[in-house]
Amino acid sequence: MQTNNQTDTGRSGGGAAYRVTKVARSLLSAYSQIYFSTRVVTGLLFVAATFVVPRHGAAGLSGMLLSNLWARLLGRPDDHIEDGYYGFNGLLVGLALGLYYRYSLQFALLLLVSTFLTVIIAAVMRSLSERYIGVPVLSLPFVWVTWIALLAARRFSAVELTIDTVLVSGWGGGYLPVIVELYVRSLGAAFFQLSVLSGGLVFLGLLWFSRWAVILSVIGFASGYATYAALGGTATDLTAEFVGFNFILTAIALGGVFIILRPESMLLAAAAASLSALLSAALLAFLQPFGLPVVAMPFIAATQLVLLTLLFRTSGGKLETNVTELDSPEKNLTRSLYRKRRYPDPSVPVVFVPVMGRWVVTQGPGGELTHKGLWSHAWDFEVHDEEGRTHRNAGNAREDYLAYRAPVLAPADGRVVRVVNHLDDNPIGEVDTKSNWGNLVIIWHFGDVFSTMCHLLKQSVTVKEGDLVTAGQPIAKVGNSGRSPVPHLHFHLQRSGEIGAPTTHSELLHYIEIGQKREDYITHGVPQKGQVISRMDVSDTARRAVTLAPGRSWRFRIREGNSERIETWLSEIDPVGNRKLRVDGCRIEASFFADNHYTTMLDFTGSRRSLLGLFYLGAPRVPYLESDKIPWSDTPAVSPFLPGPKRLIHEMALPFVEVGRLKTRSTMTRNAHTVTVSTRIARNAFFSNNGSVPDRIEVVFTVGEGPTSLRCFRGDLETLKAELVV
Amino acid sequence: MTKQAYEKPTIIKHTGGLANKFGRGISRRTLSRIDGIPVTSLIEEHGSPLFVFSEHRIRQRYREAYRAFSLRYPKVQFSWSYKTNYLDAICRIYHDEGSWAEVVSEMEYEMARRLGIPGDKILFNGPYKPKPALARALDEGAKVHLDHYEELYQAEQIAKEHGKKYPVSIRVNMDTGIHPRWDRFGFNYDNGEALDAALRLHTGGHLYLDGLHCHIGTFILEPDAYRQAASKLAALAKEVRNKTGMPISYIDVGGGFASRSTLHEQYAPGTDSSPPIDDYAEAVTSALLEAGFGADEMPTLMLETGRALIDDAGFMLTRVVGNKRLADGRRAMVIDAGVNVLFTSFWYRHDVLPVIDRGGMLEETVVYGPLCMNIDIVRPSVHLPPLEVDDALVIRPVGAYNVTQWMQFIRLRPKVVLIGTEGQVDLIREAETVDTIKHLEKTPPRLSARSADE
Repeated sequence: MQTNNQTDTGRSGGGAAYRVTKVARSLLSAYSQIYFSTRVVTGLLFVAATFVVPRHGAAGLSGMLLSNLWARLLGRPDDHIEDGYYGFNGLLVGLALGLYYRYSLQFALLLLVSTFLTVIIAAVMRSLSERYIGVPVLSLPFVWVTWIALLAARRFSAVELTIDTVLVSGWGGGYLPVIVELYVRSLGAAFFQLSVLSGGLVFLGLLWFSRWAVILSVIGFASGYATYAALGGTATDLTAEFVGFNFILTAIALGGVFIILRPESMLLAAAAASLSALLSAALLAFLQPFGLPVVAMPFIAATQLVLLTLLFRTSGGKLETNVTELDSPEKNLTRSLYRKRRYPDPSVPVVFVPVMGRWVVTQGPGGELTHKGLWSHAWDFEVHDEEGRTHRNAGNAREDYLAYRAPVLAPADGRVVRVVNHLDDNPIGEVDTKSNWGNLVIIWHFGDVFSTMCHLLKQSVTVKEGDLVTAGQPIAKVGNSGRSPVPHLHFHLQRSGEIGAPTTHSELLHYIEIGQKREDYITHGVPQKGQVISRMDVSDTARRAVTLAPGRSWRFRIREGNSERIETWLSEIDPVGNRKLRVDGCRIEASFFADNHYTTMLDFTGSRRSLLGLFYLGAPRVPYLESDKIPWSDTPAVSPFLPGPKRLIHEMALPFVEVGRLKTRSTMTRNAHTVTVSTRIARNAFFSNNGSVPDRIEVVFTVGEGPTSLRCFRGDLETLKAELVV
Repeated sequence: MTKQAYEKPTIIKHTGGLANKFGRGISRRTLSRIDGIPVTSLIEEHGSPLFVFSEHRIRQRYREAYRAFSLRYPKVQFSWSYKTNYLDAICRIYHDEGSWAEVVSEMEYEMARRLGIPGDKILFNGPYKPKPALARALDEGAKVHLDHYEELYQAEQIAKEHGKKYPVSIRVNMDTGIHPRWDRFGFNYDNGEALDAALRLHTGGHLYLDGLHCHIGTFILEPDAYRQAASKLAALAKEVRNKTGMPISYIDVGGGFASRSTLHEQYAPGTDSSPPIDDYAEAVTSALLEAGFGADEMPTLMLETGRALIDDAGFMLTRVVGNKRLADGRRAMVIDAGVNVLFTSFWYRHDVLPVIDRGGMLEETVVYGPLCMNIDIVRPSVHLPPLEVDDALVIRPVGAYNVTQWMQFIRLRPKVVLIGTEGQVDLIREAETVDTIKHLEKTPPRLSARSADE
């Protein structure tokens, strides 16, 4: 009880401070978001850039605060307000109007009404986009409101024009080559800042956020500028109208934010930037009679159109879109790389192995006999003995076959939609080509995923159409009906419930791959012909030990050399079920996923010297294996564990080649109440030998407690030891 | 062509033999190699009699059995029955294959511990567990199978003394439709005693029920008996779960599967009449799968199979020491291995195979051991060709029980060798010497003094 109380007070104290920083963060992110960032330092530098003319900066800040107030008044969802969506549109409206008009009472009124409109338009656009289109709204609300407000202001004589903003436009100018100065000023123009000083601050903010964003901004600017210049565009469009930031934003957005950074995405960024140059020219011509600026419209149009095109594809290709979890280009790339390597593609159905014990894949997907064409994504399973024989005795009788009459399990939860149970089992060597699939069960796993188990034993099916089944439930036995000369199980997934429907690509979950020399736990994969696999048996002890229950906290005393320190972890969960471990009092986080079969770490951010970082490396994934002889491998993220300069090299090279790799190989030992996961970490040469990555990490989990100790080793030498403080 | 064996001239009544459904054929069979190693070279090197075990067969049979069960049930754990054969090398092979240890005394418990088996991978059966042994087993996390109430009370007492709550299991006996009905081990299911014991254990508060065990008999030729045993244990497990809210973690159906030996009273040979292990697996697992355990509460299936795994892997190599005619005219021979080392001769009609057949007529022969005891009969009747003194014979299967139940009686016990999977032959037990027997004895000085006088 004592401990609980302490933890609670500790946390609620941290809570108040946490709330204040959260509000500050949300305000700053409205600034940094204009360049797709959420970094605090970036936000601060961008704020500074807008306050070069203080009244101009104040107009922007007012616009942001007002739109947040309107959003609250209109009862917009909290998370939309907190992520800065209303704030940054309001900010841009404030900055745009502040560029033209003097800060006065009348201006404030104009701003008040404009931000109201901003929130309304933004709310409507976001709802429509989320529901029907699926591409981000970007700053489109701001564009519309700015045009409307500028048109309206022409009829309002009380709003006075200003020249302050134009006066400062020369500040800091003249030192840089003309083209570089134009690039820097274009960066600032995204905030309606005309001075080189502001542009410089924006550049620094962008550099802090992402090195790749800077490179993309250069690519975009160069491409757009070159297009403009080559087509003989009017020079003042770029120098006075400042359409240049459109090229930059388009390139960053499509080169690495909404599309995963790759050489291909860089080409696309250049092409899209040049498209935005074309759109800029067209809009300039179109809007000239109205006296309206093009603002960010070319960027928005180019980005949304390209994204929409990419989202309408059925297969990925090299250009991989990313519209849900936005971060810097390098972070997006890292996440995508590791997710692809470590987790199944969310669009591919995954199911469990539908049999118990060891089975040999005698025909895999795309097999040479019958798994062809529309029916290529299927597996045939048989049982072999140690000598590779499928049967005892002479193999003349069905009963001689090892697979015969073995139970078949439901591969996942679902509803039985088709059962055939009456066909005779063939004598060995004969086939029934009239009822090709033989006795079978088709299970609907909801959505458009169905699984089919064929050639079952006559009258062995124990479920009927309409029954709900759970994963692993026995439903029938292996037989020799249909086109089956020897007893075996045919298994595949399909997209509809009819017998004989085309098969679909799928993966098997949580199985053991049994090789000649060793066994390996595999989280997901497609076993190929000749491979021997078995289901993973779940250990109840391991499941109860490897727990990171939400709301719990762990306080570790860490001894490293002569020093001693304390680190406290909190386990958190959000409303949609995303889970993470957070170090109390700082921004060190490891997100993770846990279910009935395993716990696996997702992303880690924070110091490589933290205990949580070592835990991330020491238990990158932990399957709750019943057998403690089976090892497994993983490839945890590298960049958090590299020292600064090397991390930079790693990140810069990442779209082309992966320098710096970590491979882990873990084993588990189990006794009545504890599970010990021992992980060997192989670093490639890029890691210096005296870095912070140990050779081996041993994590002990205790039933009902979760992690209770962690030890690091270099060779056989223990370098760090952390134990739970009770 | 080899020279025919010399046989003293004799007159034999010529019969066609009784008609039977397997036909008249009494085939001439020999066995000259075990796993490719010539029997004669084994005898030359190690002498006779000689026990030979085949690692290949041990592993093969284990894997076959494991496969049969694991194809049909998600969690299967074999535990090697030490009393069947507790030679260290043999136990190590099973442990290497993934087997735990099943012991029935503190002696066997210590044997398993000496091989590095942790307490929580030892099943401790047997009707008598001395208190210190019980306390040690509980403390080391062994799966203790309680046999009777006194033992339950003692376990509670130990838990109280240690201030801990220990997992234990209870042994259950029941009617599974076979005879003889074994009701001497554990608590009876059919009259409700087993449930009482489980509830008593739960309410006592010092122990909790971890598993249920039964041992329905030995050399059970009827797989359906196991179906009944498994389904009764499952029913008990569910009832205990309903009454106490505690799921049990394993169900142990014991051992007793028939090997391919032939009992004296069996007509057809064991190789034909013993059910394949798959049939036992089918019976046990289908009963458990049909019992309706929740997906998270499927108990582990424990098996203590001994005989069915090892019997085939053991051979006795022996030699003819003399031929004779009995008064009634039957042929008889004396060999150098007797019931002192072939205890199972009392139960089984072992296969007796000559290494070499020089021709001559097959004749019913009584095979006597070397003991000066009337009961020393290895086979009362077996068809053999004429054999000469020093001709080698192979007796099989003898892997189960013989090297644990053998007696030091009249003769010393012989060497045991193991043929490895690569064909290597290793001595795994040295032959006894008189010192082996005598070094434990103490002669009172007053007696030793007198013998010195004479």
